[in-house]
Order: sequence, then C-alpha cells, then structure tokens
Amino acid sequence: MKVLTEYYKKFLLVLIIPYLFISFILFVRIPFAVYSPGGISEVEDLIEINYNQDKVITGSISTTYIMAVQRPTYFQFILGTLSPYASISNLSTTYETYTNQEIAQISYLDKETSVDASIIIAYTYAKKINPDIEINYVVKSLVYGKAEYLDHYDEINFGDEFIKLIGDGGYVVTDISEISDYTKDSTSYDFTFKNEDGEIYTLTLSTDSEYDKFGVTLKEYAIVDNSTIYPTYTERQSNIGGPSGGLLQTLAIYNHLIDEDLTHGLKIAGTGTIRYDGSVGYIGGVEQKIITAYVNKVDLFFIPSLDPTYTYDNYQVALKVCEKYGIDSDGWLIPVSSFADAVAYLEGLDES
Amino acid sequence: MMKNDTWKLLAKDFTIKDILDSFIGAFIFASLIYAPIAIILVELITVFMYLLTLLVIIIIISLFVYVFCIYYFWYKSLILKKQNINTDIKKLFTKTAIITNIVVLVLGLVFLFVMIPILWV
Repeated sequence: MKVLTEYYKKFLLVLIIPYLFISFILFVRIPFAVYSPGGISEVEDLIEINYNQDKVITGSISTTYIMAVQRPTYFQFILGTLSPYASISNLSTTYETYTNQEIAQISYLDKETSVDASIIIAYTYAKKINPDIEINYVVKSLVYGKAEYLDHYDEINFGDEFIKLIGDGGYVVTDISEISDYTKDSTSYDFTFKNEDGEIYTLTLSTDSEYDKFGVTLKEYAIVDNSTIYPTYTERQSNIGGPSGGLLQTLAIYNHLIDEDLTHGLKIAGTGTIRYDGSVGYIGGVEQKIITAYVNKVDLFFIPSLDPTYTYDNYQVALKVCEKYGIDSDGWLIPVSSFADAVAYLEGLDES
Repeated sequence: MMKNDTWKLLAKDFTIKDILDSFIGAFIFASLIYAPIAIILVELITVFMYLLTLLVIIIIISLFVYVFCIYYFWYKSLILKKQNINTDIKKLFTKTAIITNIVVLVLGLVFLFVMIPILWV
C-alpha cells in the first residue's frame, strides 16, 4: 500500500479535484423528479393463482412500469435532460417533506393495495361465471400520509392500520369519517394502530396549533380476507411500486379464473389503476409508458380514457405521444374506462 | 535465467505479508478508480432502464477492466518492493486475471439472464 502511494503520489494529488467534482455530481441530490421509460412485467410472475393450473395461456398480460427518480443526483438530472424519452419535473409537493425511502414505502403500499383491489374485482367478475369462486374482504383504514408536525412521527409507519381512537366523552371511534366529529373538545387524543407485524400500539397525538390537524392521513382500503378466499393465490414480493398496474393485474387474474383464454396469443400490456367498482383511474408518465410498451413490442396497449374533453385524459395524451414518435396507434392503443371494457374488447377479438 | 510463473515461486520471492499488503493496496487503488465508474453505470441504469441489457453488458466489461486494474497494481506494488526475483509475475497475473474474468463473465451472464428476470417482478 505504502509503496503504491509513494509511487502514485503526484497522480493522486492531481486526481483529488476531479474526484471531488465527480463525487459531488454523483451524490448531491436536487428537488426534482426524473421520469424515464422502464419495462414491462408479466403479472403471472407476481401473482400466482392456485387454480386452473393446466390451462394453457397462449399470450401474456403485463403491467408497464417506468423509472421515477425522486430527488435525482446532478448526474441523473443531466442524463434526464440528455435522454430523448425522459421528462423532468419539480418534486411533487406531496412528496416534498418525505425522504426517498418514505416515498418508496408509499409506492409499495400503493402496489400491495392495488393487488388486493385486482383480486377483489377479478374474483367478483369471475364468480358471475363460476359460483365456486369465493371472495370476501375487510375494509381497513391505513396510514397513507404523515405531516412533518405529526407527533411520534417515527413510531407510526406507512401502511399501519388505524384501529380506534378514544374521542370526546369516551366515544370509541373506529370509522375514520367520525374522527373530526369526536375530536373537538381537546387537542390530544389516544390513537391505536396495528403495525405490519400485528403489534397493537397506542399513542397520544395532538393537533398542530397552526394547521389544527393531527398530521396523519388515513385512507380506506378493501383488503382480501385470505381465510375464506377460493381459489387461493400467492403474491410475490415486488420491486415495482405504484398502483398503475391495477387494470392489467385484474385482467391477468380474471383470465386465469375463466376457461377461455382472453390473450389469444397476444402480448398484452397497458396501464391504469383499478377502483373497487371496476372502473379505471388515471395514471402518470403516459409518454414513458407508451415508449416502454413500444420498445417491448407489445401487440396492444390498454390506456384509461375517461373524459375525451379533458386535456390531460390519458388516452388523448397517448395519442399525441404516438403521433410525436410515429407510432401507429390504430388497433394498438385501446382506450378503456373500466375493467369490463377491457374484457369486452378481448372477447371481441375472438369474434373478429 | 528462464523465469517461471507459479504462485509457489512467488511465495518464495516475497513474504506472505508483502504479497497480502500489495494485494490490499492494489484492491484499494483499483476500487478508488472503479467506484465512480460503477456509480455512474448504476445511475445510467436508473434513467436508461430500457437499455438494461446493454448497460449490464457494459458493467460486465467494466468489471473486466477493474479486475485487470487490481492485478496491474498488485504487480506494480510487488515490483516496486523487489526487482530481482525469479517469478514471471506479469505472466502469472495475466493468466490469473483471465481466469478471474471468465468467472466474472459467467456470473454476469447468470445475473443478466437468470437473476434479473427472477428478481425484477
């Protein structure tokens, strides 16, 4: 070590300044977000339905993911400006106060709950054809957001379940819509949560004097009751976050539960969140998703279309993207507003 | 005198302490050079994910260079310590570096074609 240091002493000294510069652009992060094309991921690799194992599925159904770098380094920012397909925006105000790790936690929570939603919708639709299918769910209120002023910030985690709070007059509040009605007399209340390990804990949360809020955002989710479900399923840990795979997950699960093969040998991809009523919701990063699907040579791409008059309607944006990159959208880009729309389209392929 | 290229002979020319000290120095020097390159390549993947296969191949090639750098600095360090030796270190290290790089290539291809499809769900 010593002889090498002696021998390369001058060289090392000269390198210090460029080394510091390179370290600076590779490590210092800035408050932007870089979105770039990602890839497609087959739903069957994520969710395995323990049913119809002999069924031959000739094509594939995949979700489309993009790369979203929150708070990129200077180098990633420069790469984003150089890439013809990447877009750069300011960091979302929702995420401003969160660390990148917390943003990832929210993203994975979105993914997990979207899989539950997909299971519920697909099983409910399949049950209409096959009465053997059994699906039940419970509605849970989960921690979805935390404000900087939240008491016990580090003790409450994203995804923890809200159990109850002792409200005014000792009233036990379990429904989140009642929280504001029963927290008027005091500024501090006892909240009870359950963490992912199943441990129940109670914390006293106070309202912030400036915002007059506790600082915890709770959101209701339908969670599959695994004790009664038939057929059972296995969900693998995902590296890809976000709820935008909902529609395609639902399609793939449904395709597994029914006898016919909706894929018709096609490589199907798409995007769109799934709601509990079976309707499809908007997603972000349309341009990057279209490019991702195109470079992955998918045969057709489902995209949410809810209001053609709305400038940022996903389908309208996607049409412009196709035009910009010379992609023939006819018969490739399929606008849908619900899961039923997508199923009807695929069933229609059979007839045509 | 004809020089041989065996590890046994190298162990006779140098003490184990010298060989290990040179290796650690070489590893640190090569890593200092390679660390920014590795981070640059990883950050490239985060923005150019759609070129993943190409970028993983570039990472594998960069690892070849890293391995050669380690062996080069190791050789340099040993030569700087003692010059009158019977071992043909250059030949010995070149052979070993090639074998190491074959292992790197196999592991890289396994990672590319087996691990990524399994892990990236």
